[in-house]
Amino acid sequence: MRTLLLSLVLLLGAPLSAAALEVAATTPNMGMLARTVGGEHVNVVVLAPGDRDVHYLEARPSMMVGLRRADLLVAVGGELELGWLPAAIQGAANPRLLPGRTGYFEAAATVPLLAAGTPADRALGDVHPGGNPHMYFDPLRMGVAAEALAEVLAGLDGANAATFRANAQAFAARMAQEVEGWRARVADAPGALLYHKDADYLMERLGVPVLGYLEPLPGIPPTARHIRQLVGELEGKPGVVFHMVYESARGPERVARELGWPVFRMTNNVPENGTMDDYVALIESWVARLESV
Amino acid sequence: MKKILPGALLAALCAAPVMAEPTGPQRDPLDPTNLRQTVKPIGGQASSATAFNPAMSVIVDGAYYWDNVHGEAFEIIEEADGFAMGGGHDHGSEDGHGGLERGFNLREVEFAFSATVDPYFDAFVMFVFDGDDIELEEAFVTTRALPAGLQAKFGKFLSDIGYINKQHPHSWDFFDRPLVNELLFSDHGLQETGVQLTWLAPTTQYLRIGVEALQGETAGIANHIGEVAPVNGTERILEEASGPRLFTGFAKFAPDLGFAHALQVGASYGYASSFQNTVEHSTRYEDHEGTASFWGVDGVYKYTPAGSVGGQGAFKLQGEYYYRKRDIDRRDVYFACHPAGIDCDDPAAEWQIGDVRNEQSFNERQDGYYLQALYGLAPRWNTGVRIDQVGLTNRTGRGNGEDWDDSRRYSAVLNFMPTEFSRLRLQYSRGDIAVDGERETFNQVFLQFQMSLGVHGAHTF
Repeated sequence: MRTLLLSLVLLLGAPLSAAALEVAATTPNMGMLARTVGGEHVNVVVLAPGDRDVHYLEARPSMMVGLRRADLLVAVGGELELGWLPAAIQGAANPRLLPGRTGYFEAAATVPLLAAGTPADRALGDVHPGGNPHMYFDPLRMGVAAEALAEVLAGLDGANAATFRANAQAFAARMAQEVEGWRARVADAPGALLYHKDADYLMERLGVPVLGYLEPLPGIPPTARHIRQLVGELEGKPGVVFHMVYESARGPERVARELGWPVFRMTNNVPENGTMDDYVALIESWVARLESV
Repeated sequence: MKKILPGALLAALCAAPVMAEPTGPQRDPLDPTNLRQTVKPIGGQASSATAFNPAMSVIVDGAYYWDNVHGEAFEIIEEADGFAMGGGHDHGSEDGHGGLERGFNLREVEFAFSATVDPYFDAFVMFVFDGDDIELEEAFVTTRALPAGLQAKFGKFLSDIGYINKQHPHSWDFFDRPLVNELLFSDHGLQETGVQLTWLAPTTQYLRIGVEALQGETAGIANHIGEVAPVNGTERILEEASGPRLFTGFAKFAPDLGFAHALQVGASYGYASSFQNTVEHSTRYEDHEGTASFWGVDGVYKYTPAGSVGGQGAFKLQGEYYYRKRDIDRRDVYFACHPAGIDCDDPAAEWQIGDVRNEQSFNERQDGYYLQALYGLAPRWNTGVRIDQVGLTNRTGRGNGEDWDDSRRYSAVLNFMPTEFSRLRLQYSRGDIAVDGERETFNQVFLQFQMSLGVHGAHTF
């Protein structure tokens, strides 16, 4: 009986280092980060595809399956996934992943956020008083997050700590190097009109001015009056218009037509199984369009 | 002042463009862009939720209502043949969530509080104010730290049987509760005090099973009266039964169909060890004492096309079926001499106080379903239809037993959601209800607004 109990305890508490860590990432970008840092020592599942607006998802059974089996959750955080992630974690009944535990990782908690301290007033739209959560758009912040993630992975799998740290540093170094090149290429870019405040991080990193937003307030679709106002302000100036695949093209196309600007339908995520190269290619796709005018 | 100004100016000029650190002018050589946070504990969360206060939300739910039966459509539904007795309005709560007056109504205001209690428990409390009274809708605690996919819940909560039972009215796609849920359980659905244990299987497809032990107070399935005083020395059949008196089990399965499609199917069962009812006639109490059980199946399918803007093109199909059986012993006791009004000494008095009549046993079998579909017409707009039917099997046992007609309702809805915090709804319903063997029909129009204030929790599938 005692040996049976003992072996049961050993079985349940067996060190996980032998097997790869199971990681649940909320978005493809976070999956990329986990895959880049964890290498072959992690198995990554992505909970939400990149072609959806991550603000407005709902907790689904498939997400709970992914979270139930995970050793680590890698989220963008900053309340970006507030609409579904808490319910999905709750439904997954996996205490390892609760906020505050070692299995809960928010990239946004590792870096300073833009626009932190916005008044918590819904009259201003769907605001995040803790700061703009779309930090995945800043390659340098992603580098910092990668290094923080390496420490978390090292805590879960000490045997591969050196690998995780080296991978994260390589990622951060590559981002720093790429940013130099990107900044030089868009040094003369006149600026961009965004749909939502998500690409703010990228524009700031590249040193390209944001000329305005299609949304009159975060989370509110463009109105005719707001579009007229934008056109009035920007008439005669050069620029580009960006919107995401999941955002209506009607407003952006109208503004672009009236201003004579190019309009681009963009993605903000790597493919579901994306790598560091895919992330570089994603940022490249924005840089290439910014320098086209 | 003069000394500070140039210094501040200088500091502002030198500050990193990204984030000016107010203290600590020296920079980390490894952090030229100043992006590193001061040490954050592992598992940290960037959140605006206020430190220790519970997250609070208020939902205001009001409607303009009209029907063509002098505002009595809700009463007609409660009189549906086969469901009228024991349907919930014989005792206790007179009008639940259902009844509206023609014109403007404040249906309810929900106040919800949620917080983590300690490392082991989360808690949720919701009060509902219906314009007159404040009622406790839910107050429960869930465990955070049970291993192996287990989770326990205790307190007053909406049972997890089926699909819609657990949802609060503000999550519904239509204004009103499906007839089957209202008439087989109660106008609050299956809402009980007790404990629940669920297990999420460690499988690659979603499988969740659960059991509940509940006090047993829901009018339609576990109505409880308790022991009542004898009449003139004659015991009545109603007996005290200690709780828990209602036990349920459920299972939910969701295959992984990729992100565009989602399907969940479920099955549930429940057994009430005590079902009691009493009707006060002019001279006698009609008492029912027995047991009840139900089973049901439910399913929901959702389609969300890739690149969908604001829910445009999304489709949702949802339906549930329940079958309820009650095994009843009936025994009536006279509390006045019969015929009514007669003098007890009168030789024409057939029945004396304390006499027993109608001792019989029978069972009642009833069922119902609803099926609804919703389609995203345009960004932020959706439209849907629903069919409700109860009493496909509709056999009650009083007297010689009787088979009743079914009752139906057809509804169409148009929802507009300006943001995720507000909703406007226009709904039309046509009821076709069997009342005393006749068909009673009515038309209803609802123009509803729902507003959600504060930190509103995430909604589950």
